[in-house]
Amino acid sequence: MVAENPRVFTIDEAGRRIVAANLVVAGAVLLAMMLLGLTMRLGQSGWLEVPPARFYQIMTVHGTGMIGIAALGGITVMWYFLSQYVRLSTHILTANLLLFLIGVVIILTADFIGGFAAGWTILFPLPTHGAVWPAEAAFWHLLGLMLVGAGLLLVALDFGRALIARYGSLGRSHGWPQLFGLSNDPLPPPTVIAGTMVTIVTTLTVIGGASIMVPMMINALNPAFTINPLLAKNVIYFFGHSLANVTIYMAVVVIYELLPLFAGRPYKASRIFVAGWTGSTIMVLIIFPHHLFMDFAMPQWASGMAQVLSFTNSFPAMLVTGFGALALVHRSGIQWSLVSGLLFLSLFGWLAGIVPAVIDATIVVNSVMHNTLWVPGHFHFYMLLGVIPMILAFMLYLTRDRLGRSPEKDSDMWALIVYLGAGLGFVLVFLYSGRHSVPRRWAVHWPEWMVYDRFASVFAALVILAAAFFIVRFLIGLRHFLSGR
Amino acid sequence: MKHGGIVGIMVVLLFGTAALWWGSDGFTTFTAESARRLDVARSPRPLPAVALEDQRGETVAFEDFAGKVVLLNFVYTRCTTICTVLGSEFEQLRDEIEHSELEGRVVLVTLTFDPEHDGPKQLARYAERYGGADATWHFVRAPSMDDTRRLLRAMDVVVVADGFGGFVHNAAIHVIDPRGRLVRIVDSDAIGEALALARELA
Amino acid sequence: MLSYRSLVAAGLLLIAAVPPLAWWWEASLVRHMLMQIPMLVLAGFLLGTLVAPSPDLGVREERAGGIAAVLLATFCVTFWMIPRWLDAAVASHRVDAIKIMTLVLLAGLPLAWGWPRLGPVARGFVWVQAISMAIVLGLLYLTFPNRLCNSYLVNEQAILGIAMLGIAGFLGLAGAVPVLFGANNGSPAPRHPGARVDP
Ligand code: HEM
Ligand SMILES: [Cu+2]
Repeated sequence: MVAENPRVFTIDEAGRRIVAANLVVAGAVLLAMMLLGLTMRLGQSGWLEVPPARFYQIMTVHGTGMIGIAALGGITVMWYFLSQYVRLSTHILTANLLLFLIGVVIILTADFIGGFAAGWTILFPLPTHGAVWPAEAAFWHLLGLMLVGAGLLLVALDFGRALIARYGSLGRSHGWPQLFGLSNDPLPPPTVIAGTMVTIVTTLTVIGGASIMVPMMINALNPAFTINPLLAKNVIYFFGHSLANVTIYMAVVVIYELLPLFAGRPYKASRIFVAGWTGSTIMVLIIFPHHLFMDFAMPQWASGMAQVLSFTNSFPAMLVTGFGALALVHRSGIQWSLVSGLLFLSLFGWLAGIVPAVIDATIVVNSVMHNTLWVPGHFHFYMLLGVIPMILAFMLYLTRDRLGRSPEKDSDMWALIVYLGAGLGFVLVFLYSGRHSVPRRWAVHWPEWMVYDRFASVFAALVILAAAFFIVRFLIGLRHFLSGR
Repeated sequence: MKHGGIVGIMVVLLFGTAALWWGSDGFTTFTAESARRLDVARSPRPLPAVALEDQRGETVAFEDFAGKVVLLNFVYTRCTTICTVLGSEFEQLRDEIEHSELEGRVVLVTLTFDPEHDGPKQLARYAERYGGADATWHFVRAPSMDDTRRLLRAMDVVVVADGFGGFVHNAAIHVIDPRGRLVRIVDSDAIGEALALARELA
Repeated sequence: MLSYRSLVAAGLLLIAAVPPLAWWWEASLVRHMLMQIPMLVLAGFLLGTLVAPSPDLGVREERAGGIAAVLLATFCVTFWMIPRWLDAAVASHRVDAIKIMTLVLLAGLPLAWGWPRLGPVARGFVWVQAISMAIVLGLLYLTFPNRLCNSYLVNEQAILGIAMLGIAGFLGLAGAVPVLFGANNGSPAPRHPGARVDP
């Protein structure tokens, strides 16, 4: 048996190269997409001329690209740490990157040249009956998404193969025999448990995504081939929510693996930990068929429940992660550094992001606020302050802080504070505007809303500066990492 | 053969996609109905010369309508579903035609694919439901079953028994040009489109 | 020498492909799609297992060849799932003969050669794609308001849709149960973590 949490992570040269390539792409696309986000806010605040058609194209590229790099970065984090316990394939990770890049090129072309602008959520029938853009643009955008999804599926299947080879079944690598008292063996490490969950959820997500995108692609080329819009909506919700959630399930292992380095204690899985992750897995397993084989005569409450479940399935995993991390650092004399700071920031983002999510998921509120900026407020909270800091922490750990001991500069701490402060400011403006019923997805805002938009623009610019600072740091340290010191 | 496998994958991808592309006319035509419409629009089809008989029991033929545009539909008179809809749609068409310059240049033909049951009497009764036959609207059958099959086949009209003694069949308006060729097939409720085509061809 | 498998294959071909019986299968959409076509592929598969040499998985080329073969089978089956060609096979004996031959020779046979050559990831990929294709077809046939095939009735379409969804569910369970609850004991941790393997 390897130790619960290895203190030194090893990786061979081919692995280093592909991990580095993934992170470089993720970092570059992250900055580009953030700039697009800023462009939208500048347009709404009247400081920049953004024609409406352009705005929606930008929004579509921004949302799709962000979810894409969150998945790419997240799966790289997961791959790196999971490969410490099971034997993973670098070829598959490389194939994923290639499919990702091809998909990105296709999506950019379809959106900026083809004019596709139905949003990242591709809610049917808008994509193929938008009338503003040619149906072919929708076809190509969806094809790009399918390629990105196929890449993720390959990596998930490789995770599954490796976990089964090592543990015998996904049930075992999930810790189920121990959970149900069928076995007294030591529990698998937290990363393995999370990796199992990611394997299952990613596979289901891709099945759901393909099941709706293939018909939509055919519909784009041949309108006579119709799709039931209610069903499409359900499957798309399942796909979108699961994909957005799975990025955090992937990236969160950075906390399990790196926090112990700073606290000097191992992060151990417990039965509660297994139960939490199992809870999340089961909630996804329940909502999958529910959204997919949606019963047309289904009562309203059942449909509402599936909706809420798909918002909240991450809570059990999140709670056990949060409590575990607090217990880990409690009176441990933790070492503060840029990386540990980012790890805490990400935990805060994930945990605090729950509040607006819960409020949104409460059906009464849902009907009032669902189409306001409250919604982007809620998901930017856990994306910008949760998933992205996890990925940034991993990047910086690899390239300059591997043992957590390199001296911190003042500038590092300032960057961290700016990222946190401005990031928080940015999402709070979304939430505050949502409270005051400012609609989401409006290219042009009324003058009385523009104050919010201007604050948000300033915050966004500051977040981008801080993120750029981290990414440049990462790039500078990349040579070290690649040389495998 | 170091890269035989990869080349194989590429070849299969290429030919496979090409086959699907060809088999669906560029991923646009997945059903036989749309395939037949596309094919007819691309290459008009001559109709087989068959002897027809109208609701008065008189012999007619498609040649009799040469020089006129024919809008043709297929029914069987016992039908209680689609064929009644088809009938009222043709009734509307006749109205439009007889109140426009198209009168005399465009005729409607309703053809039964069940000649064994639908004789002149049944056809006349079916016609009565829509105001009866006149110079614009003819109700006909091909008395020989073989001729009926030849006609259906030439237009790729498929009739299947519905298991309850009736039939299920393509519902569409078949547009025949003044030279007697089937040139277009449009939805049975696309009255405007059918009239526009007729105006163009007449 | 007549082996057990070749007898079964011949029997399947006789039942599925020889005219009066072949037409009977084709007279119903469900029988056509879910019985005749699978029987033809299975017959080809069984014949394939007789002629295909056993795989040498050490050779990478064999793996890529396996992917090519399974891809070929996928394309072939997909082609005959297009409603238009299903119709054409009913309407024309020539098309039907082509259908029977290609399903045996271009789907069943290559599958027998390719499947044993696929690694676990590729098999999983095929499996997952099969599930989503079954869902796509199932939802399509179930919810499409008009007739997709001129030769068949709408109510049969709905039955086929439900059957397709059932197949998706079955494939899902058949894949998930061994993966989640399989009884193998696993193997020790890798000696050199972070190392590469070829799945
Ligand atoms: C500087 C950072 C960012 C800025 C300025 C920004 C800005 C925006 C704006 C203005 C919108 C449109 C909101 C609306 O009206 O509905 C938006 C949507 C969105 N953003 Fe961001 N964002 C940032 C970071 C992120 C990050 C880190 C992620 C995820 C990892 C993300 C994911 C999304 C998604 C998924 C949408 C929805 C797109 C759609 O509705 O189709 N954003 N963002
Ligand atoms: Cu009828």
